[in-house]
Amino acid sequence: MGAGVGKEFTDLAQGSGAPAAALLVHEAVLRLRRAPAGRVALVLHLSRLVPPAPRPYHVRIARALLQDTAARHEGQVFTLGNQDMVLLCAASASPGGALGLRNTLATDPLALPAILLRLLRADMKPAGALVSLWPLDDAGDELAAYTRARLREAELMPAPTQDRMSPHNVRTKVKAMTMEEDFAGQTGLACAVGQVVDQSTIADLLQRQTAIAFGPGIYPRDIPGDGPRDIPGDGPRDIPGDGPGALHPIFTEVSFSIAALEARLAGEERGYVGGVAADPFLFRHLASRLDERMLKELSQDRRPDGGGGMLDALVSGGRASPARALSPGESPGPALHLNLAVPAILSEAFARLAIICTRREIRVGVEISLLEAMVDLAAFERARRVLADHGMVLVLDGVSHVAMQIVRPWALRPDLLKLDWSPRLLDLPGQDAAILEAAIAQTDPARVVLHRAETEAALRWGVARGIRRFQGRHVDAMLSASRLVACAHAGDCSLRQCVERAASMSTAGRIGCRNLALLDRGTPEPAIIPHLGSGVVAPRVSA
Amino acid sequence: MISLAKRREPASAETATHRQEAAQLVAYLHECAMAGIARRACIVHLARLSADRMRPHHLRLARAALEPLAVADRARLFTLPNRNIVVIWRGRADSAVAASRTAIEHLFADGDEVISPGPLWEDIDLPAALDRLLLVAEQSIGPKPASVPMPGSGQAFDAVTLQALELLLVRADVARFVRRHPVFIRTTSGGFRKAWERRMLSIDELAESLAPEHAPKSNNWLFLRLTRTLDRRMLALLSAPGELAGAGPFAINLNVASILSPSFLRFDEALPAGLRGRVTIDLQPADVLADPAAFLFARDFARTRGYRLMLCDVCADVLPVVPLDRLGLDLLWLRWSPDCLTEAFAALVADPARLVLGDADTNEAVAWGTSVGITLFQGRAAAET
Repeated sequence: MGAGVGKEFTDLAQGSGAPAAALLVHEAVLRLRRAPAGRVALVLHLSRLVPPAPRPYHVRIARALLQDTAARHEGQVFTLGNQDMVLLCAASASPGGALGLRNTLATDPLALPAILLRLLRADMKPAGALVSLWPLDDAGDELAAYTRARLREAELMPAPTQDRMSPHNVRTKVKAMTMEEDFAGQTGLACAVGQVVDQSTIADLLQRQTAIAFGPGIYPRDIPGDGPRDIPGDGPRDIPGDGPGALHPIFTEVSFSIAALEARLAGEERGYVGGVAADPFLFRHLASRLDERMLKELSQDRRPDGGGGMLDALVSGGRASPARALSPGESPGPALHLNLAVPAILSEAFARLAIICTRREIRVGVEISLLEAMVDLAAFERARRVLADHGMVLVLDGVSHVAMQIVRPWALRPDLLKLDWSPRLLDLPGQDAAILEAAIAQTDPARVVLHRAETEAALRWGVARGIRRFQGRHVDAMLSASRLVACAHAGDCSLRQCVERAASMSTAGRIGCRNLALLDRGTPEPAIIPHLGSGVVAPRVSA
Repeated sequence: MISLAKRREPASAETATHRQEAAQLVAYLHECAMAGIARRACIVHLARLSADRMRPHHLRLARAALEPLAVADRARLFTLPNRNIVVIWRGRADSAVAASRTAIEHLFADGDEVISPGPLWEDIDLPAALDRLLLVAEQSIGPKPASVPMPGSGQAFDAVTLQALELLLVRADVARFVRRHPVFIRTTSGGFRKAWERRMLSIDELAESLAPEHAPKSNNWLFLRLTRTLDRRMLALLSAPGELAGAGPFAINLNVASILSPSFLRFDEALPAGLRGRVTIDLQPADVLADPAAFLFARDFARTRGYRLMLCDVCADVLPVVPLDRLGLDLLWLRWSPDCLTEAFAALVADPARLVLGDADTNEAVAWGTSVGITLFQGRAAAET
């Protein structure tokens, strides 16, 4: 895009720090108000986007578009400390303004708001204008008030990023933002993180989380249609408390813990996993290495009856169905869900694990990310058939609401589909909401697990759409609350401690719990959460 | 040695035939699934027999034992590379099934004792047990190699190698690895006219030159990451003064992240005015899903700047997952394969005017594309017409 008339000036404003930028734009506005005819101000309120936006590319592209208009309309662009951008320019194009520009598309400042709104609509908050267009002769006062407010903010806050980040998060987020742009650094970091992964005890890098279902019907075999298969150890039986408010753990997912890896890296000053996560491909590479190590551990026969070691740790305390007859009224424990890459499922190690699990009647589900499936769909199809042949449930993981709107993940025929909850779901624009709801209906709500259900609002949103399976921090708190009610040692623990110990895979992480059997089982049977349909799902974890 | 070679030759030819039959079975099963018509099948698990009862004459006798099933409606028999036999038919054929089962029972009886055919005979209902049958077919073929190794390759492609390669690419002259593949449009007279050309870096040649010991395609994730590095080099190349002077319409393969990078802004600035609106950006399905929010932003930004967008490298099995309208893209590059030949697949081709049929190297591909209304082709058959 073309170099703007005000380029040098703008760079000066950027480079001088936030207070200087606010001062410069305020002075420029005061100056222009002396001859306001034909001048307009466009303010792009990037600070009003939903975090993690604005991401670096939002800032870069928006700035490029504004610069383009500035070049044709004798304008200047300012970037303020809160990441808002201000374009001051002439309302109509100046022939001289376009000199030296080879090909830029003429972008009228009056047409810019519509373009910017279309580009940024996915990250907009429902309330608050994202773009303000103020003709200086009519709305000079509003503009001056805005720039005065920014100047005041800048003077009060010497560190401009702190208005949107707590001090605790500043370092990490700034580092992650930097890494998102540091292309070469990302690969170097992936090398370093990969070494740490290889050198770590695998259990220390894993976490577990239990998913629940409300009401009767606890696993895919209960779903009508063509998908469900018999899951060993999950025969039909009467389960007490199968009322509408009953809560059943259905599976416990073992996954790679970014927080645990962060903790191991912190002392070595090698950077942050967030840097690797900034590139989805490097992150998947890292995750697949971890999958391989986990699978290798799990598939090792260490006892005459098969299994042993890590697998024992995962199924201890009834986490997966034990090889024994269940007494009447007793439900099987939650199934064990593993995150695996497609090549891992097609490997010999997985075939060995499947044999061990069949022999020991351990119910296993495998979670494959949508991205992993799409990178080689033919291999995914082979993996799907391998899982079906072993009677294992296939879960399609990592499906965001945006992905659900633009592709058809249900065409991959998973047994369960994990839809990632986002607060954005509460205020999706009408058309997007309709597309998403139609997608859930096509998937079949009975096959959807609402993942990352961190709040009560998430559960309410899901229940209203017929979803009965949930996983996330709010579910963790619900399960912990039900354990604390039933546990004789509850007086020694807080809700948060119970949540954290349940998530831990390492012995150290579970120290302090005096009822490990209950901790591993997830919940006493049956757990009843009252008033789900109409009211409140209660517990909250105190900070 | 000579006699040994002679003895092996027919066996090898026979295995090749059986592999072909297994592939035909997989294709046939896909066709059955799309048609949705109920069929029945049986698997005779000869692979479960001991080696002394798996000789060629056993196979011939087993096939003969299954002859009663030949009278069933649309019966088809497939012999798999591991000697298992699959028969598929439509409708009821109870007496024929019973006769065949009895014949197999007696054929593989151990001495005077008639063995239970249970482990040898498996009944299948289609399409309910489609997955089971597909697995049996594919397992008989054996594992598919994860990728095609490059000549001379062998060492693992890991993050350390990637880092080294990225550093090399900073200074390497990549211009000699640029390849141009024309896309043709069918004219009203039945011939072909070049519509645009796809400009892309030959990654195989580039890797062979810069890292001959390694096979980047052996690691999907690191390979995708490498394509982002190559995007930057390609964009830099196209942004060089004079590089696009006199150029016709073209397409470049980019990652979403690359469209949002400073390199793309520089390319956009350097793009001659005459090419504005005549450049297509090719995107990969996996890359679109790597960050869907970034994709939506990049898509709308590219549109604002006058670029067309094409989803490329879409195989027949991916098409149902990536609807063009939902993605909001202009074009879709569909890789030709015989899997496209089914009527059910043709029904999936909703908007043929927006499809480019890729790998159209045969007249059969062009004929199929034309029959479903596709007018844009890339491949030798289109070029040669």
